[in-house]
Amino acid sequence: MLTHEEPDLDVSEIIVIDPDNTFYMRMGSEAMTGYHILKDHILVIDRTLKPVPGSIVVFFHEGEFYTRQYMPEHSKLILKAQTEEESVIIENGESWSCWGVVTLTLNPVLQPAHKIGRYIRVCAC
Amino acid sequence: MFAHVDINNCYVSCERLFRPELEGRVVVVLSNNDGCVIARSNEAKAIGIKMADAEFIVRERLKESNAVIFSSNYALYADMSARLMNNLARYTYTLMVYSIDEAFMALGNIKGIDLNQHAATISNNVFRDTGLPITVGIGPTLSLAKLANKAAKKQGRNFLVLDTAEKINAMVQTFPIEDVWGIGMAYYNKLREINIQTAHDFRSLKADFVRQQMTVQGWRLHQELWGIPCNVIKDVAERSKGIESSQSFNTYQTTLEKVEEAVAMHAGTVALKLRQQKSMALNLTVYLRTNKHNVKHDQYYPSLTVKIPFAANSVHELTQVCVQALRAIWQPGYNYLKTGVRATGIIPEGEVQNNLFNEYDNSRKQEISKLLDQINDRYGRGTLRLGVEGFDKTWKMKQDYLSRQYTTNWAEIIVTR
Repeated sequence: MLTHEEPDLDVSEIIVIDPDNTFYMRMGSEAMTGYHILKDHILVIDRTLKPVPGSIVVFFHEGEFYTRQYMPEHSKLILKAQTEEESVIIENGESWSCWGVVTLTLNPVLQPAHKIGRYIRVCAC
Repeated sequence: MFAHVDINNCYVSCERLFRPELEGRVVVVLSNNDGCVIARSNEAKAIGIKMADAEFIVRERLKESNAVIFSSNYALYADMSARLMNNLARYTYTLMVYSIDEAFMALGNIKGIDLNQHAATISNNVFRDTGLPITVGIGPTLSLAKLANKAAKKQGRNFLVLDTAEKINAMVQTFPIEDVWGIGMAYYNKLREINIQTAHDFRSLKADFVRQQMTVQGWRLHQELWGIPCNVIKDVAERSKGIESSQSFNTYQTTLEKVEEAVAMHAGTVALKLRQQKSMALNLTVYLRTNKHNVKHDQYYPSLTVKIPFAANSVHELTQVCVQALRAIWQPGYNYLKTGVRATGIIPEGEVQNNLFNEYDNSRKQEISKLLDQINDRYGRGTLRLGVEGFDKTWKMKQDYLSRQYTTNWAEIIVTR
């Protein structure tokens, strides 16, 4: 029996930095494909981070959760998607709060033919 | 100095984190089986919904106020509670998890630190990081920290610090005795007879008199209200992590019979620990291990987690569930080295039984529970039970308003636009 001096690599080490404050959601639209966030990607969300210009954020707006790019301007906050129609504009004075900052996304690339047995677990989709 | 921290309207706040549109609305969470109200938003409190109100009694009133009702989603609450506790542990060297939604923290003799600043930092950071609104009360004893917390809530603040005799004196002056931690119905009635109305009145009683009339518990409280620590902070962090009992066998075991005996013993130990800390488990895990260092043996490491429909902490029930789980994972032909039982999803006992006895005062309630437990442990579960439980053998829990397991089930995570 081999004894290992060091524990094996664990991918969660580089994905989940603060497990107590990390949440997961799933991208449900094509609004962010330009940012390489495709439909069905798992969003890894860290609530401890404060968004900076350019951050991908999750927020709640008019009854739904959105994933967009945080782009504050002088008179308004633009939550940018790849098209203008899908962007959300928050005028100064309107209330808005960040639910969490997306630190990375998980992109399942497994072919359907492989999605059998335990491999259905890949990204849980 | 100590801090007492709790989550404001805990279960409602957990639900709202994933349903932010419910901010400002009447929200209630119902107990197991959708029986009684066990958590209320401030809006629900404002329309007079009381703790432990039976659902069918307040149904109409909730409907009229367009309330949102939830069945208790303990998987979610237990997960959010663990997140909170792990966050709080970052601000103290000793954390005592007191229940699913409250904890005490030892702050030590921190001189030169602005306690108001510190309390505000904890409150704000924890709210940002976990999404749970909390209240922080700080005082020189656990009782005063708890009192400070309650006072903060009454003032609509998220922290309050009682760090000087002047502040404490001013606070106890008007603080109602019935809101003091440890003053139950029985003591309240007794104290009212002698015209004790505030924490100050109580504190002004002679210590000997209190000891005589209210046992050592009352005396401790009396001392603590003067700022003399009597209740010690114990590190019972295992409450959030789960409770485990396991042991390696002294020789390899190959028969189900022997391993069953061991599992039953571990189940008994776990049940005892649960009852000692007045909590119940929602999940039980049973596992088996062969000896991984023996390369000549075939290896097998099965484990099975079973959800119990009703939270449990009785020996009989835990043993039954664990033995069934063991039989499900058992495979003959292996040399087993170790087995263990682990309880997770741990919730306070009160929440499950509270509502059934709300006619009785607290001490009476506990006596009845204990007696019930003892008899059922001796003669089998269901030997003695409460009229309200009914005799229907299908123990299917009613959960008509259950929210999703946002943080514990991949299939139920939120989908964003």
